[in-house]
Amino acid sequence: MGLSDRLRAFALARPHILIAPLPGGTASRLAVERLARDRGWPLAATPRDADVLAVCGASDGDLGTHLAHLLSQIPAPVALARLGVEGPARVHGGAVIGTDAAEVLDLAAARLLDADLQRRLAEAGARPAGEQADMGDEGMVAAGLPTAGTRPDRDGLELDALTVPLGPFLVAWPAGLTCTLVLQGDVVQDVAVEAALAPGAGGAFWDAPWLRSLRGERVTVAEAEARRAAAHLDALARLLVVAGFDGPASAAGRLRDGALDGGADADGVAALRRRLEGSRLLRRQTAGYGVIDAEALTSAGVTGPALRATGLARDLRSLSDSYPGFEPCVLEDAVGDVRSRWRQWLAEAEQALRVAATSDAVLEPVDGQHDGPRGRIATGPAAHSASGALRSLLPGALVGEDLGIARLVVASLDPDGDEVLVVEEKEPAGHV
Amino acid sequence: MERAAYLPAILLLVTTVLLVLAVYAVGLLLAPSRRPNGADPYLSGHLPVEHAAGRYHARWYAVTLLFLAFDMEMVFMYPWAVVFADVGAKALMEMGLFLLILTLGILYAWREGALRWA
Repeated sequence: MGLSDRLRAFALARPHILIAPLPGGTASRLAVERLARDRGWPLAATPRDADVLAVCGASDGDLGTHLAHLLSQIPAPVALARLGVEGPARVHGGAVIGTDAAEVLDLAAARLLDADLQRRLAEAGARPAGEQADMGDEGMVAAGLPTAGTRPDRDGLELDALTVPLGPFLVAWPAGLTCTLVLQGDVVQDVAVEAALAPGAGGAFWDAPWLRSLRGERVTVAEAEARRAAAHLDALARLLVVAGFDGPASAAGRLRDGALDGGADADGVAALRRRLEGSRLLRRQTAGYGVIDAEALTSAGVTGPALRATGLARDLRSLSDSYPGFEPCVLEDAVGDVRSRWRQWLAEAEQALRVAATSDAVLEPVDGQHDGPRGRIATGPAAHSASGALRSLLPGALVGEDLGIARLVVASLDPDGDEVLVVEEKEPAGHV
Repeated sequence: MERAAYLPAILLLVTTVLLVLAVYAVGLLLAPSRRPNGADPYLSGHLPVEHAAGRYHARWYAVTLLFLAFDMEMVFMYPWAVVFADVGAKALMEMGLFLLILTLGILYAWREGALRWA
């Protein structure tokens, strides 16, 4: 019918994209986010709101089953897109695969409009509508699952303990990270942290300029600083989405893409900084929460902006000849809470873009190490994953907080899923 | 009552029912599948491990005391409501004063934390 086709085209003119980022898929995730922002296609927060599932990166085993479950939760019409696969955009095994985000998503959107295809997919994938509650064994088991057990809470009462995975596929969540929380009410009582490794070669996107410099290639300070600014703005955009500030998050995304393109818009970052620092709501949400003091950070081996946000002015760039006259960025009232960390990102992004605009030096390591966006970057025997150190902070930082604060704390630490990849190749005695 | 007086109401009822049926019809015509998608919760790709039916403490003592206090307030308000329209503004102000005193009690209880987990 012409009418239903037209209605369908109207309804699916701007499909909602659910991004499922995987370790090693940062470049494709950035491409999808940029495309969605340019075309005005909304990003879905949950599978129920999604039309296209955009998988960025390669997945294996465990993550694959989570992805399959996520896909089954998206109501028809649905299209699966896998980005990061070499070659032109094509359909393979029920998914649209390819490298170019625009081509892949256009093909996925076309599949959404194909009524017969969607009907066949829906019939093939339909599951029995829920499972009925087991009436026999009342109170203990319902729908085949046990009811939540109890454990004592901090008031000494017995309260339900619910296991909630803040899993690999959550909106504005670091790729590959799974935090399994035990919640009583909304208070986190226990955390188990897992980080997924990406199979095959991907390489850390955000650390690429410094890793190339350590391998002996010639990398300019301007390129490295632009990448640093983009990394901080990307982390900031994620934190702002968690905090509910979608407009500034989109602005941060635009500045990040500008920095990645090579334009050093330090004034834009300064304007964003003024806007966010003046926001009383954001201050109330983030000040005083998730305080991790300098001792805990240094004993966990954390370096980088998370450490500087406690007031310690430690930055390898001040010791490097490629950065003449560099002063580590330390803000006043930097106490190591969530607010200090995001303010540190903004200040360092602005500083990095100003350095990128004026510097023409070549990047030189200091004792074979660099100061990257999340901390020290080194290869060989001194190799140490900055994101691994940040991840080790999570259990201590999350227990005792409520769920909202816990999400803000994870967003403010923002361990990078890709970084584990690089270190694991060097240290076979693995750690996460 | 005249039957014609019911005409607008019946018209509204019929229009509403037709609109609702039309919305369902459009959905049935355009939906790729008749069977529902499933009602499992979004746990970031994981399957639920346990039922999330949360039990909580009813705090019987606190609830009983609060109920008693405000039930006594209602005992005074019932006869007041019957005569208040005849007596006028003076009755309104007197009841307002009574309610204000009880509200101060609630504020005190709130600040003391009596309403936490209630």
